[in-house]
Amino acid sequence: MAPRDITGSEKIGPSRQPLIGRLKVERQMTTDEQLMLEFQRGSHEAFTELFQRYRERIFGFFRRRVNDFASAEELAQETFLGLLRGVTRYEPRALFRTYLYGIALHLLAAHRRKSASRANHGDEITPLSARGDPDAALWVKQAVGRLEEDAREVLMLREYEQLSYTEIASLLRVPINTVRSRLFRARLDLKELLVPQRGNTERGSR
Amino acid sequence: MTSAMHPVEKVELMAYLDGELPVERAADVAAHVEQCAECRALAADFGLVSERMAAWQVEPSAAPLTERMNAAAQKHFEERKAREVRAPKFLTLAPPRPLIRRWVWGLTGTFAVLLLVASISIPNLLRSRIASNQATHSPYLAQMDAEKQGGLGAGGAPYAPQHPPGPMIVRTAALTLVSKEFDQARAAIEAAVRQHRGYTAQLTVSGQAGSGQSLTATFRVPADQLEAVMTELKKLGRVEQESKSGEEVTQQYVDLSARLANARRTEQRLNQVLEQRTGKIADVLDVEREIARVGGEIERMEAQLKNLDKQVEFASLQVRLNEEYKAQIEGTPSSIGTRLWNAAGDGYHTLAENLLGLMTFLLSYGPVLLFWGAILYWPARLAWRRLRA
Repeated sequence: MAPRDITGSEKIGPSRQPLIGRLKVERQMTTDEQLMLEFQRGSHEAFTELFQRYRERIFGFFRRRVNDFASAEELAQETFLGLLRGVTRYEPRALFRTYLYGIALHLLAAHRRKSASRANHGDEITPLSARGDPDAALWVKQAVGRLEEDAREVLMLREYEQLSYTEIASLLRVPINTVRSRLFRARLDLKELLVPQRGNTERGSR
Repeated sequence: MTSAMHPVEKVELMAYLDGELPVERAADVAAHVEQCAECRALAADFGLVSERMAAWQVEPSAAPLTERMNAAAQKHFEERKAREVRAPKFLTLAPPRPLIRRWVWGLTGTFAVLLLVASISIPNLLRSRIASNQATHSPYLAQMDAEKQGGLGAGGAPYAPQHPPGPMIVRTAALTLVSKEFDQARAAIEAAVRQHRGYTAQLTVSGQAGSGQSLTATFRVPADQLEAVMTELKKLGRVEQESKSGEEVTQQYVDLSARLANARRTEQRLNQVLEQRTGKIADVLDVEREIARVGGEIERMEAQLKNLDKQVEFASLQVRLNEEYKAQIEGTPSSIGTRLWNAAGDGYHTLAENLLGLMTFLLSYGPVLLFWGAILYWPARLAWRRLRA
């Protein structure tokens, strides 16, 4: 594979990602990495800005992966506390986003280890969608929960966290081709889980 | 379905849809998708999946999170400011904690290296100090010796039982030399001894194949010439060892002289007795026997005195001359196989030694290592987790 730019700025594809587009505009002002360096030098404002940018995303990250609101909130808080504590260790080699999600993934793994004895996530469902159709949300959540764990993580990082293949690869410490194949498998599996139930009326099942 | 019929792999199509293909490849894929119904269907499926997934939205975080984070950040920055006030300027430029830690590590490392160097060099230093002390000491001794000998050399009446003019010292010296030119050095040694009116008491030359020749000899040189001879000999090669000793024999000499004088007086009186003999023949015979005994004693004592005189007059110099061995290339034409064989043997021995050493180490330190490993494993694991968190 040809080397890629991890920001993905030089790639073209169908413009179906309004969220990414919005993020790019944000980053053109002051990048996360610049803010992080400012924060390292002691700027409180820089930290506040980073927190504002990532608060909902980190909270959402946990909210989709753990069962209760309180745990998600606590884990999100822990993530930013980790950012505060480890600020001296951050090196601008890594993208800030990868760094932050790295902390989050680590905390998530620790949380899952602790609650391993309890029921698997995705089984006890609390309907949670504030916006959109609660039934649809529940249905997607159940379907996603049925995916293989490796594939599910890649798919969620791609679809909900909007991370690039390279970022996912470095977060999960797997080769980029593994990310691609897992993502491909996850999407086909999820299509099988989602489309036949509702999709019968829209598309014939292949 | 298969990629043989299909110029674009499905995974690649997905990467294209995700905007993850390089520009040039993306153009190819885009062109292909235009024509390929199968790819378009797959693209539609992927689109549908993403669309469906987007239905799973989560509620926004609650205000307390922001409040708590703000408080935590406030505390963090206050603590940092406090640290910066306390820490000197240069510490705050870089991240403070790791710097201090690195600094401590550096200091510890430096200290350890210094300790190592010291432990190696101090004994060496001491040794060379002692050696130089000895070296500076010996010329002084030599001077003293020379003075004493000068005094002694003037008065030397070997056979006469008289008091020696100064302290009588029997000198012995030993010298080990290494020379490249063995024959030349040997000739030069003998010449030097002869020149200083010395003589060879004993001399052995030996040589073995594979090593240099060596010469062991004892020379007797006039005591006052000893220093001069040694100085000359030392020029002939590298001095490996040098030693000197002196034994004070004045007391012995005086003692012996007195006993000799007594014995002579006894002999004289006995002779007088014999000349003016008045007694029986048995008495005469007794006296004659006594005279013979005393005469023998006198001779023995005279010989001892003579020997002492000679020892004092002529110092004993032991010389050992080794040839500096040069390995001769032309001398070992057939030994390549042997040497390889020997090297293999050495290798085997080294391996065996090494393994034995490792096993010895493991046996002697293994239990301790296991013990500490067991104790330290959990704290280390905890620390590692903390570090990574």
